[in-house]
Amino acid sequence: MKMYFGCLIIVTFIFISTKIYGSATDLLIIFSGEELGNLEPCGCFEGQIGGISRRYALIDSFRKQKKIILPVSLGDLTKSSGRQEVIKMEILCYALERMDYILHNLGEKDLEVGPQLISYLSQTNKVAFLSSNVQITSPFPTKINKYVLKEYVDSKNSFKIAFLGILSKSFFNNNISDFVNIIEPIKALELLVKQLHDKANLIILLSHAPLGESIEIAKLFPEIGLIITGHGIEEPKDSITYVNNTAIVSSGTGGKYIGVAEYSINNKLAPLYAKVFTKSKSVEIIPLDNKYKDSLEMVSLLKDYQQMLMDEDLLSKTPQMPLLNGLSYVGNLTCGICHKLVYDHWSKTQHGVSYNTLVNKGHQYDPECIRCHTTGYGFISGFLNYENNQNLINVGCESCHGAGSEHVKNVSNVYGVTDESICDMCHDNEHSPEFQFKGYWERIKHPKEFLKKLPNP
Amino acid sequence: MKEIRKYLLVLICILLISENSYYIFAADNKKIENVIDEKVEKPNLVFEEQTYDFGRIYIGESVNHGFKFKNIGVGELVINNVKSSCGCTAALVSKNKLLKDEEGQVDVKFNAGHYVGKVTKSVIVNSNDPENLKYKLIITGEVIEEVSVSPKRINFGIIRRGDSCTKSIEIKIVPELKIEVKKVESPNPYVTITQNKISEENKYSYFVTINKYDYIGKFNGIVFIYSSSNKQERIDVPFSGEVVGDLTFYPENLYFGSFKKGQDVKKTIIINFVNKEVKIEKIETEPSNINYIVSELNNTGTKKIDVNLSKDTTVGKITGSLKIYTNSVIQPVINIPINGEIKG
Repeated sequence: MKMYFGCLIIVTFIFISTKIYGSATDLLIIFSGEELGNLEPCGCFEGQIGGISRRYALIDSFRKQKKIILPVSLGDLTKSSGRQEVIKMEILCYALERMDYILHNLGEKDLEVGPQLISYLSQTNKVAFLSSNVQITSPFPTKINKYVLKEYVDSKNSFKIAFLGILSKSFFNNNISDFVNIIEPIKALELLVKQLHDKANLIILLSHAPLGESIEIAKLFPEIGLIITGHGIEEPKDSITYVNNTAIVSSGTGGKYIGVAEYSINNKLAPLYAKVFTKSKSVEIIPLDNKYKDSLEMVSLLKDYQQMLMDEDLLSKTPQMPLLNGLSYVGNLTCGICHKLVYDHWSKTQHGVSYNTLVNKGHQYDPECIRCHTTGYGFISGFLNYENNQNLINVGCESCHGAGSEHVKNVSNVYGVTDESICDMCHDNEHSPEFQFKGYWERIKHPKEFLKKLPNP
Repeated sequence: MKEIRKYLLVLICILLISENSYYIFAADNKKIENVIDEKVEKPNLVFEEQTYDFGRIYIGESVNHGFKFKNIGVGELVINNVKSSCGCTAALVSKNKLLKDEEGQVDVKFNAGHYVGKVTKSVIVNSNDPENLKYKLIITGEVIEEVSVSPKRINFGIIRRGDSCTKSIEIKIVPELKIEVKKVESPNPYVTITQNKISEENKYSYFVTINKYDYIGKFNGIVFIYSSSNKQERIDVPFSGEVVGDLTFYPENLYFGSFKKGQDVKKTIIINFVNKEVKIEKIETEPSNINYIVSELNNTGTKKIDVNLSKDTTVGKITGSLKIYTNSVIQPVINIPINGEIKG
């Protein structure tokens, strides 16, 4: 009898607790943003993080865990205007589509690509464009959602999540002023938050704004459960902030990290605890390092990107600036005529083979890469393309010492004085974080040469 | 009944114990950890300063600063590495293993390059100090220009063919530097630049006009501003815009990319009619295995052309075009090249 009662109590307890707690559904809000045109690690050094291929692999790993995943994008896929940025924007939007992103919040840099592309992508891409406070006033029809409401129903639970997105007025600039009208974010949110508070179980804001502004928004709208934010936050792991119960998170810049906010959702709690049935379990910022294998689908897309750069011959279309004082580049072989010893030494250094490193990567048609792997790219008489300028491939003499046309005409002229600041133009932290002048100089230090004195003309 | 109450009581007790047991065990573990900690000789990394404000520097200049530190702990301090955020470099200039009371230094260099504005850069020092495994150093300041131009880039926006468009640029000079603006010019024959005579002291204003640009499509160029500044002898202000005719279309090239034979790949062209009188009369594709469907986009008058390839298209490169014939006088034919590759 005692045994029977004991078992009965345990069974009853399990039944009641299931009724109260229900069985939870795990939901992952996956967030990224501020790629600023970084499609993949450029390969300048080992250990670079980021890229859409690794991102795909990471998202795919969550998908395989059979969790509900909602990838969202904060904005600023590109960094400026121009044809290359336009191509990147297209490629990144396709990538988001293939990774099942549900929305992309508009950043000011996205808008800089121009109203026509925004219109085109908003009409043809499956990823919904979101902005609660940006109005496009161009003649091109553009589909921008003021909010996105997602409803999920499974055997255990049903719930709704509302996504809002804002662009800070502080980022409004001349390049977008002609076709964009930005409403004060707080004003835009007041109405929408009120409207969505009763409709959604969780409100998430994609706040394309400085951290300080997002904190103020969190204070004003406690109804918002999660704010995905940041502008120029380089260390997203250190930037997680809480205002009461609202987590304010960022995925950093350059597409290097992916943020994951995990929620446990349980409908059965609703009658007991009113709205509080989406429980934030954790927020994690994951660096996209080589732990994640490149996805073949994205690798193929990146190859298409390089192909587009080649087909459009973007290298030759980049504007060429005149050099100051009417100077022009003469090329490495010309220098080598008199400076044979130095030339021979240089050709065996990394500078002397830097063009080949691009060829090996298949990036030799990419204007962004070519600048630091050739001589004088972007300037009249500098490298423009391989077909016409084989004498200017690699980081040549004139990359460090300046255009040599006057020196060739009059060798006694003061020429070639340079310092380590010139190295920083390419050896920046993004591409060469280990760079230290002393150590690196040793690798390229020219041998001493004794030139015959030439008579002055 | 008493029996049931007893069982219920036991059950509640079990539940309460299980809820609190984690905290009890966690607290116990902490006690153990503390005991162990007291026995281990810990290093203690202390920096003289955590933040360095370099004040104001001019564009192109760089700043170096050495952050001095000391191990005031008993154990040996090991600096594993020093990592900087974008735009600055950092290096440990002393040895990486320091005994009690030994001192070291982390040198941080910030190169402004072309950057302008407020700067906050961080450097993370990773060490074995259990209290400061990741010590954050910060450098702040502001990069200013001797000659500042606003806007940095001119956007003429969308201009109807035959129209003109004028934008203004303002040049501000740091007063104490007595810099002159020597010349403002553009090699583009369609651009005229005139000085606004109502300029204030140390402030210059110019009007940049694009006049009756003949070509339909996107245009770009550069306005050069020459000054007597040594750091900014020439400032380049790029400009861009688009001249539209009777209709606009996107994209200008249709890329299918590379895909497997038999895969259904669809690309879309969108055509906007600036002149509402203009109509599409005919569409031709080359080669003929390129298919298309024309539809209207949400009753906007905008046309959407969905393009795909027949499934029997052979493996290899795709090179073709889609020609749109219209009744427009200025844009009677639009040619959109098509590229791609079908893999076996």
